[in-house]
Amino acid sequence: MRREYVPFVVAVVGWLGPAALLRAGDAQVTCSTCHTLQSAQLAKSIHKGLRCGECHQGPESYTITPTDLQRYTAPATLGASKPPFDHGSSFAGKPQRANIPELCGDCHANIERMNPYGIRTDQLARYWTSGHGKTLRNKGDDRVAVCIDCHNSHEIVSGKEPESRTNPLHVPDTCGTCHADAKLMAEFNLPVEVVDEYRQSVHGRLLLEQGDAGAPTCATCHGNHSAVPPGFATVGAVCGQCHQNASDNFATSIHATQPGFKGCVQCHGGGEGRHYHRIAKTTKPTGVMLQRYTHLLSSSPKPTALEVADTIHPDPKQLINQVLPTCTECHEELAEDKSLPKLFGLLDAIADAERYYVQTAHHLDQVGQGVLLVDNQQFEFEEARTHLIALAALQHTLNNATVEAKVTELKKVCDKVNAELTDLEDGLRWRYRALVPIWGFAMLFAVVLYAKYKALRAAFVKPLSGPSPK
Amino acid sequence: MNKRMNAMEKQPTRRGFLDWLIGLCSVVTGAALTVPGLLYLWPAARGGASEDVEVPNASGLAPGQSAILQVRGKAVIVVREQTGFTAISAVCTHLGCLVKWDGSRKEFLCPCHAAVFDKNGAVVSGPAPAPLPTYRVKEVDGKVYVSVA
Amino acid sequence: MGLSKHIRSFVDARFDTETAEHFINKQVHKRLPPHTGWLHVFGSLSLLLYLSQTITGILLLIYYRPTPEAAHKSIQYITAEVNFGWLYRQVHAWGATLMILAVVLHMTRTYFFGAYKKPRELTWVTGVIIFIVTITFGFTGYLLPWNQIAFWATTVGTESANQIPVIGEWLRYFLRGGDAVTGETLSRFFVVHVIILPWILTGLIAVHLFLMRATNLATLEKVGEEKPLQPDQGIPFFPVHVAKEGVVAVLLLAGLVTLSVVAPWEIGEPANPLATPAHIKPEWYFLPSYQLLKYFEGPHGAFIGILACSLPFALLLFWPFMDRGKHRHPKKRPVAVGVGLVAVLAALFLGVLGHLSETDRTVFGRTYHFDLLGRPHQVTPSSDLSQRKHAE
Repeated sequence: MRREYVPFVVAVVGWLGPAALLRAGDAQVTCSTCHTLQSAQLAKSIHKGLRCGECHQGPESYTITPTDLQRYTAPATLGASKPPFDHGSSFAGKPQRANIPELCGDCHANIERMNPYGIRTDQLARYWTSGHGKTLRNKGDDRVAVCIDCHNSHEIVSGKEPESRTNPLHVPDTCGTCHADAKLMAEFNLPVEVVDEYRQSVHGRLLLEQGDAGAPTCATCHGNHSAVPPGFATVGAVCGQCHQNASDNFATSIHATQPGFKGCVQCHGGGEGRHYHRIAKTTKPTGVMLQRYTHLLSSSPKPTALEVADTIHPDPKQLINQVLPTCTECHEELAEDKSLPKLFGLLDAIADAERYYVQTAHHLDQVGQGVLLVDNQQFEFEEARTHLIALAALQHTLNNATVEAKVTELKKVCDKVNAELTDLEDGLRWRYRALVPIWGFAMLFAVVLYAKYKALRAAFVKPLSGPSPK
Repeated sequence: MNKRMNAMEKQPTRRGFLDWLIGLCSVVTGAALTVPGLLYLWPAARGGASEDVEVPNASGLAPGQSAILQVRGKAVIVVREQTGFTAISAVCTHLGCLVKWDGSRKEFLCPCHAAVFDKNGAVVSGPAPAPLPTYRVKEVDGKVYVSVA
Repeated sequence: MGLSKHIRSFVDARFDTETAEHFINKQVHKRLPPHTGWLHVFGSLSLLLYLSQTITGILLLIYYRPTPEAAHKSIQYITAEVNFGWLYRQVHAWGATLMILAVVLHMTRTYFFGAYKKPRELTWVTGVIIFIVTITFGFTGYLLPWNQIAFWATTVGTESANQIPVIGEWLRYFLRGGDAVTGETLSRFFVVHVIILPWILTGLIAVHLFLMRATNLATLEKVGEEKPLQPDQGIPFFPVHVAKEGVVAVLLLAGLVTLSVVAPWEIGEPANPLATPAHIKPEWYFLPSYQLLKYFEGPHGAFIGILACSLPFALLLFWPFMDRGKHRHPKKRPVAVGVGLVAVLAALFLGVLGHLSETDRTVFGRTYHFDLLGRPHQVTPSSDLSQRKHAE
C-alpha cells in the first residue's frame, strides 16, 4: 500500500468500524444522555476536564435500543419505576461515603498528578489526622464530614468563587450544616452552640455583617482538612497567627505559665457557660471612642475625666464582670488579693491614656475647624495613634511598668501636639487683642481728623446763606 | 485768602497741636501699613509651598535605610535602595498605624497587628486588607523629592 | 533744603513746571458744590479700596501659584506660614466685598442726586462699566483659592453661559478653556484677574476721574442752569473734603482689619471635581441674579432668565440717555426716584430670598424650611419629611 493512502484508510475504518457494530435503529449513548444534571454540574465545575469513569469506572458509552433510550431519557412519571440500567460489570456505581477520601486522594494526594496545577497534596493525610478522619477510620462512622460534604460532588468549584461552599463567607454555614444540627451533635456529644457563638463573635460579625473575607472563619482556627479544635495550651499560637503582638506579650505574662489557664479564651472566650467561640474585643477601636466622645460633648460640653472614661470605654467593666467568675477560680479571695489592684492600675493607666488621646484628638479637631492649619500637628498625632493601638497589645503582658512606659510615650506625643495647638490658638488670640490698640488709634486719628475738618470747614467754607466772611 | 489765614493763626497753639497730631498719626499709619508688608516679603521659614516635598538629608541615607516624612499631612516612608529611592505610604491599611521598614528583610512591618508588606507595598502577611499606596520619587541635582501629584 | 533746591532747579531747567504746578494746584484746591457731604465719600472709598486691592493683590501674587495642584496649598502656606500672610489674604478678600459695596453705594448716591445727567452721562457710563469690571474681578478671583466652594460655584456660574442660544456652548467652552472647570480654567481666570482686568480698571478709573474733574461735581440745580462756582464758594477739595475723607479712610482701614480678624474667610476643602457639596451659593453680589434665574422655567426659561438678569445692567448703562428730565433734586424727580427705590428694594428682596432658599431658619420658635424659590414652609417635627418632599 502506498504511504499516502494510510490516513484515508485509517479515517474510513475509524468512522465505519463502530457504525458497523450498530444494529439498525440502535443508538450510541454516553453518561450525559441520561445523567443530564450531573454532567451539567460537572461541566461547570473545576473538574470539567474529567471523565465520569475516573470516579465511577465503567465504559464511556453504551449502545442501547430505541425503546430503552425512550424509557431512560423520558421524564420520570409518578409511580412508574424504571428498571435498573445495566452499566456493565466494570461500573463501580456511586462511591461509598467511607471510600470518598481515598477516592479523591487518588488524584489529590498524587504529587505527579497535582504538580501541573501547583496545588498541595497533603489534604488526604491531613484529613486522616482530623476529628472527622479519625472517627471515620477508627469507628467506621460515615456520618462524619467527608470531602463532598464541604466541596460538593459534581459541582466542585474553587473557594474563590462567590457561590462556593468553601468561600470564606459561606464556611460558617457549611460547617453549620452538621455542627448546628442539634440532633446530630447530641449523638456525638458535641456542643451545638458553637456556630451561633461564632456568629456573635467579633470575627463572625466582621465576616458575616461587614463581609470582610479576611476575617477568620471556622477553618482559620480549626484548620480545614485537618479540622481539630485547638487545645487551651495551643490556642495562643492559633490566635497569634493574626494577633502576633498580643500573643507574644501574653507569653511573657504571669498567666501564661499558670497551669489550668485557658490561654486567650480564658478572657476573650465569651463568658460563663461558654464554648469559647464568642470571641470578643475588650475595648473599642479608636474611631468608636472618638465617636462616643463627640457624642458625649453634645450633651455635656465640659465633661469631667470620669464622664469621659465612662463614655469612651465602658467595655473593660463588662469584661471584668464577664471573667470575674473565672478569676475567682484561682484568685479566691478577691478582696484580699493584691493582683486585683494591680490589674485595675493597669486598666486605669490605659483608660487614662485613651482619655488623653481622645481629648487631644478633640482639641486638634476644634483648632483645625477655623482658619488655623493643623496639618503638622495631625501628622505628629498619627504617632500617638500607633502608640494607642500598641497599648492594646501591650496590656497582655500584665506588666504595669511596660504599659506605663508606653502610656508615657503616648502622653508625650499628645503633650507636644497640645502645646503646639495652644501656641496656635494663642497666636489667634493675639490678633483679637491687637484690635483694641488698633481701634484706639483709629478712633484717635478719626477724631483728630474730624476736629481738623470742622476747623477747616469753619475757616474755608462760606455758609450757604448769610454774610460772607469777607 | 490771607485774611482767613490770619484768622486761623489767632489760635496758633491749638492748630499747631492738631496738625502735629495728624502728622504723627499719619506717620504711625504709614508705618503700620509698611512694616507688615516688608515682613511679608521676607521669605518664610519653609521656603514656599511646594508640590514636591524634599527628603531631608537624603544623601545621608545608606542603601537599605529609610526616612519618614510628611507629604500633604500624610506619613510617607522613603527607602534608599541600591538603585535609587522609593516612597511608600507609612499608614498601614489595616488600622492606620505607622509601618516601619525592616532593611534586613526588605519588608515593611506594622507594629500594631504584625501586617507585613513587601518593598513595593504588596501585602505579604497579616491582617492588612490592601497594599500600601506608593508615591513617585524624583531626583534633581542630588536632591530627592516625593511627588504628591 | 539745599538738595531739594538743586532738584527743583534741575527739573525747572528741563520742564515747564509752572504749568504743571498750576494744574495740580487748581485740581487740588478745586471747589466742590456746597451740598457735597458725607454721602460723597463712597467714590473715594472705592478708589482707596482699589489701591488696597492692588497692593494686597501684588503681595499675594508673590506666594500664590495658579495650578490646580499648588493653588490651594499655596493659599494655606500664605495663611499659615508667611508673616502677616493671613492679614493680606483676609484684607484682599474682605476688600473685594467692600469695594463692590462701595461702588454700589457710590452709584446709588449718584442716581438719587441726579448727578448722571448732562453733561456727565459719560462719567456715569464709565462708572457702570467699572461696576461690571469690579464684579468680574470678584467672579474670577473667587476661583483662585481652588477650594470646593469656588470650584463648584465656578462650575455652576460658567454652566449658565450654556443657556445663551447659538453661542452658549461655545462661550462656556471658551470661559472654561475646555469642557469642564480644570487647570485651564484656573489659568484663564488667573490671567484675567491679575493682568487683564487690573489694566482695564486702571484705565477706566483714569477716564472716570478725568471726566469727573472736567465736568466738576454736579450741583442740585436743573440741567443747563448750573451756575459755575465762584472762587470763594463751595467746599475746597483740599483740605476740607480730604480731611472728611481721611476720617472715613481711617475707619475703613480699621474696619478691614477687624473684619479680617473677627470674620475670617476660611480656606475650605481643596477642590474635588468628583464630589459636589450641597447647596452651592454664589457671593452676595450675585445672589439677586442667582435667585431671579430660578423663576424662569421651561424650554427657553433659562435664556429669558439670563436676559432678565442682564436687563438691569443694560438699563443702568443707558439710563442717562433714557431719563431726559431736567431736574436733579430728588424731590422733583418722583418717577426716577420711585424706579430707583423699587430696583434697590427688588434687588435686596431677591438677595434675601436667595440667601434664605434651601435652608431651615427658626423665627420666633418656629422652624421654617425655605424652598428653592425662597417660599417658607413651616416645619413641624412630624411633617418634616412630607413638607420637604412637597416643597421640592
